[in-house]
Amino acid sequence: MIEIKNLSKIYKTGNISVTALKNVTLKIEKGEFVGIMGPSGSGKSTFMNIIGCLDRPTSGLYVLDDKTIENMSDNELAEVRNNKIGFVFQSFNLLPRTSALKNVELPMVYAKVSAKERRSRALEALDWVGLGDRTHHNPNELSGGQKQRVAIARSLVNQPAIILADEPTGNLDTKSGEEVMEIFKKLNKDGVTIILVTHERDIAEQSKRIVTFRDGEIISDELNDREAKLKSDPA
Amino acid sequence: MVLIEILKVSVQNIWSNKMRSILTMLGLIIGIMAVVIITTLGNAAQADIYSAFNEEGKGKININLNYNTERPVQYRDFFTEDDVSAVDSHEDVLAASAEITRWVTLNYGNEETTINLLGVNSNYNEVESIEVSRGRFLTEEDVRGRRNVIIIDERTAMTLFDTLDCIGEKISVTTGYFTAELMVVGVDKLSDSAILNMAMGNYGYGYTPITIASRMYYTDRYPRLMVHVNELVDVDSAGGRILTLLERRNKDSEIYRVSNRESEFKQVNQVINTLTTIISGIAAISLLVGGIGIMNIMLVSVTERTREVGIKKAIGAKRGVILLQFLLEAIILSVLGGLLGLAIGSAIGYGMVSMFKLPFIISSNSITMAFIFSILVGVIFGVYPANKASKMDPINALRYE
Repeated sequence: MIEIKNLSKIYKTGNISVTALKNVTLKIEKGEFVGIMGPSGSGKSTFMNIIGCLDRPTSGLYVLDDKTIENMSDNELAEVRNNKIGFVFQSFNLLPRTSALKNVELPMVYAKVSAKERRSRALEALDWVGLGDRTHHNPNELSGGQKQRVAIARSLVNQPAIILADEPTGNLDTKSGEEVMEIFKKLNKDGVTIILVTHERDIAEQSKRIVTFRDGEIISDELNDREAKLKSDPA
Repeated sequence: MVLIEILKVSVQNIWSNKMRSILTMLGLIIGIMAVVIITTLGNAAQADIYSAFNEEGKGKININLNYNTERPVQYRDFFTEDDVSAVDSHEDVLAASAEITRWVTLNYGNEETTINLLGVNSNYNEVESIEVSRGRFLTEEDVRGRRNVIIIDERTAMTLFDTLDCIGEKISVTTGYFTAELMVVGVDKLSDSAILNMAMGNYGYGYTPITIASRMYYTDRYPRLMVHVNELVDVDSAGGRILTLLERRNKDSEIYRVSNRESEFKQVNQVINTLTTIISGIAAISLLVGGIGIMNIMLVSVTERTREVGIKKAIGAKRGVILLQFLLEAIILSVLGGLLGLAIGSAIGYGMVSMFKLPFIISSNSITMAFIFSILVGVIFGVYPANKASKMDPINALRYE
């Protein structure tokens, strides 16, 4: 599904160059639920942007769904973002003054889906995240948790290969955060690959595999057997 | 399909910023309005002159003495009564009359006014389209009998008598060195053409038998022939044949300047055309200003909506979609402004034209021009901001606060 080999990203500002990623190699299979951890400045956001085709690596290989992402034009990258990747951001990033329904329909507009099909698919997705009764509300009329659920509905409406969630619970209260995490788990159960970036350990621990970044490198990559942990924990 | 969605969003954006949109369009509204008003006035003036020509100018030739030749004009070059009747009986000619004019002062009671008094033959009303609203025009007997009669225009009648019913009144006419008492026998209707009436200024005019005029002006020869040629005859060639006739009567045709009314009207039209174009061109500069206004607001809008651009790009909008989004907004603004300008301009143009009693013509030409110009302005001044938006880096755009 995702194959990354010796990936590096170097930002150059004048004479100073900053290495954000150093020879990162990682493989993610279909259906995985990967939590990416690391302090700020560890390179996890850069990594996220590259996986999300928002940015290009300086060197190294990135293969998504058997397609090499290097050498793609801006428009081809836009197409990949549109059909292969669903984004969920910390700050929701919904279009203001635009109804939940229209927000969810938007990726399908760019995918040239017919208006009728757009509507039914968007309604279905909103229903699935539990917002069937909020379709005509604008983002400013929704709570944080509801906004994030609209964003999730938007991310999955084009049936992407992966959903990239960047601190999706960062702006939410604990209860809404838990609800959002439940949705991700449910999605993963249905076979959707999820990559979740967070700096909160308890959020990361809800994923099946945790990759930790520090100073632009992967310092640990381990399967997370939470079930086992919970059993061994007497509390 | 995508286009429709983009269009919807554009309209929505413009609608949700109504005040700003109107202010943005204002420059263009004023520009198009100015151009429309000027072309409406120009068209009206031309149409007025055209109909005046059709009424009064068709088939008319003036033969004047040309004072700009090397040989000075001599007494023998002036037309005699015999020259006039010879031309009058030429086969191409419907009617020909001599014309001799002077500024004279009219007095009636305490009222005084200055008019241009034309000494003419009795068939002058066949040469020029003269319509009397009261009384009659000159007759053969008036001319031959040297009757002291005068026909004045409506304006002069109102000045002197405060009424148009002034037939039979006697007025004293002074040239400065000669005074005569003439009886009003007719009142000439004003022309329907507002432009011609305007061109006359506030001066009135009158007609008197050429025989009376020669006595008043101390001359028995006339400087000008007014000719109305037969309808089927071409005015230019008729002019040539009349000159040949004059040559046969021992006149030197080099000394005359033949002008037909048609080419004069064409010249006037040309002048109006040029004026309209020049003033429209100057007014069109405001279109440029309007365009800059649109560009300015679009740039602000692009900056304001940076995050929106980032979101759209992240979820798969290609460059073209973003470009089209902003470009369409600019075009909608400019076209809307153009149409508003057209509507307001036409309304004001209509008001001004009716004030001058000119015909109101709104040509499809000016509508299409206004439309094309506004689209062009939208495209030209919308491309730069739209391109700027489309080239935004999605990561930076998403981070924009």
